[in-house]
Amino acid sequence: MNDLERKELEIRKSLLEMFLECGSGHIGGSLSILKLLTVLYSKHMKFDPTNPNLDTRDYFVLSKGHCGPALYATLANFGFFDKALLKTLNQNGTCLPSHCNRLLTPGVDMTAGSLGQGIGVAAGIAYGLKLEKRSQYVFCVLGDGELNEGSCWEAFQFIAHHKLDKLIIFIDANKRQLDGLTKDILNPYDLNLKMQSFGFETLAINGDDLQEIDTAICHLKEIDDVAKCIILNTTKGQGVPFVENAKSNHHMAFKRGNEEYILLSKEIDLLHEKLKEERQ
Amino acid sequence: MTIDMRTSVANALIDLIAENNKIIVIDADLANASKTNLVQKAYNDSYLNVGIAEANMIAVASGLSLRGFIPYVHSFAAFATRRCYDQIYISGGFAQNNIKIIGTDFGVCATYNGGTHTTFEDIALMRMIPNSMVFEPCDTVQAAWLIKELSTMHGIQYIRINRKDTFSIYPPNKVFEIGKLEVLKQGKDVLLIAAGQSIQEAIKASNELEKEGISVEILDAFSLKPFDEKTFIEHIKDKKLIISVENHSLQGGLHAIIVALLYKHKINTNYKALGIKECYGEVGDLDYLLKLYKIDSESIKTVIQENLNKATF
Repeated sequence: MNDLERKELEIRKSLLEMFLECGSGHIGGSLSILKLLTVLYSKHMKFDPTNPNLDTRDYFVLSKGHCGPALYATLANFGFFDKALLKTLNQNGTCLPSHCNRLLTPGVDMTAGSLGQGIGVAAGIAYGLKLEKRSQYVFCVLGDGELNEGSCWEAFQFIAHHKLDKLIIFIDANKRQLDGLTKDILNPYDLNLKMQSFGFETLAINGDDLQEIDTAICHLKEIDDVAKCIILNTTKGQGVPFVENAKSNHHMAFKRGNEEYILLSKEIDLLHEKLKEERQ
Repeated sequence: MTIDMRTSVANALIDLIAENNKIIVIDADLANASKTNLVQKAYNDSYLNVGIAEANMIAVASGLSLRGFIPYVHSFAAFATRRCYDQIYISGGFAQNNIKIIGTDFGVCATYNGGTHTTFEDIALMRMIPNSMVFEPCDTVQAAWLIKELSTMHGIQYIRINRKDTFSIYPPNKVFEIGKLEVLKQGKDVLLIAAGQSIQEAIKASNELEKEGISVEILDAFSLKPFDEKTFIEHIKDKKLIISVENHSLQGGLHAIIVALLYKHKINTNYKALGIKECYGEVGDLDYLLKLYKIDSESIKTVIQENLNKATF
């Protein structure tokens, strides 16, 4: 196991523990972006966990804001706040709401949850940085279901027109949304072709492969003067078989005693063992 | 030289940019109509046209705000508020960003653009954004002052602007106060409160009524939120009749503000409101529309004449 792989497992363990404690959550879409988050925060993002508002930092916008837990698990494992805080997901008075809020959580750059808005905000940040002649990056993650929202495409047109080359957008193409498969709700047709024709330098990769993600980001960073997009082919619930195979895994409940609770606990134990082995 | 409101606004923005390069003016493909093209000519880097994409305009403004820019965004009042409302609410307000929203040709000022471009509810909508501010200047001087004053305040602020209006009543360097009513004219019998274009109707009506021996006081409510409760309550005390007139629905605007205050202070008084009753817009010239919706000076006069000597309800 290399460092990246280990890191991802640690983040995944934190994420699953969060959902177990909370009793429910947007587990499918949170799991499908963990590898991306691992790569971004391990290798590509400039930040200071003790100074989340560092003016020269890279920005991260989780436009698919309902996967706040994935971001929190990542931030905690990179020192933005105490891991113990993760137990407070969605509790009364929490600073960890399921839809991320920049006013509540250190390390969260933008409030998101009403789908289709974060991407436009990310475009605005990138445009501002360009005006300021900065070299910082903005990374934005969208869901493929989120692309149903027309405002995403307004933002894409803007990004492409202004060639915001320090903004890299990631589409988590896990091919599912709340009510079913994306192709059954609103057929996306060829997402790759779509993004290309919208003016994006587009890479479609295996979103379940840490190395491929890293390589793709490195590649796009080498190119100037064009909008950039990485389509991650992922599995909703990636890494946790019972979630991957669940009929509906957008949002799941883990009530003490029910089958999902037991399966989730087992999964956490498995991860715990794996990580322990590695240490020895 | 008389200038219109949109030019006054553009000039104010240009003055602001000269002092602060964080000011950025954003239009949604209406630069020629709003005259923000003047801003572009003067300071191209401080100007951005996002195309006919109002929701994205607000999102981009939110992003710019996160980098410390001070965005002024523009579109037709209907599209700058109603159309992109969730963006204003969430990416703007909930995320505590800083956006000044200029909504032009509100209410009946939409004239020939008609019902699709008319909004009678923009003030209501913008008042409902928690911690927002809502303004409706009546002349070119007040509009310019507001534009400049808002640059120092962080939050979601909305300002109604009537593009081609050249009305000017305040002296050039007049200083106003956010959250304060302007006493435009003193009077004894009637309190007439209005804002924006309606001030012109109020003045016309008041001048004619003076000839009949009716003394009308005019309060300029350009600052709708925050609203000057104290001054309003003081000024209604000795009056026989209170009239409000607005180029907006009777729901959620000036009338709503007044009713809430009268109730709060347990004031039982002779009060009548002019405004848009539940309906959509239509095309017409300004005079036609003002008459049609009964918010013109004649309607104000009639309501005053009919109600001045009535007992309180």
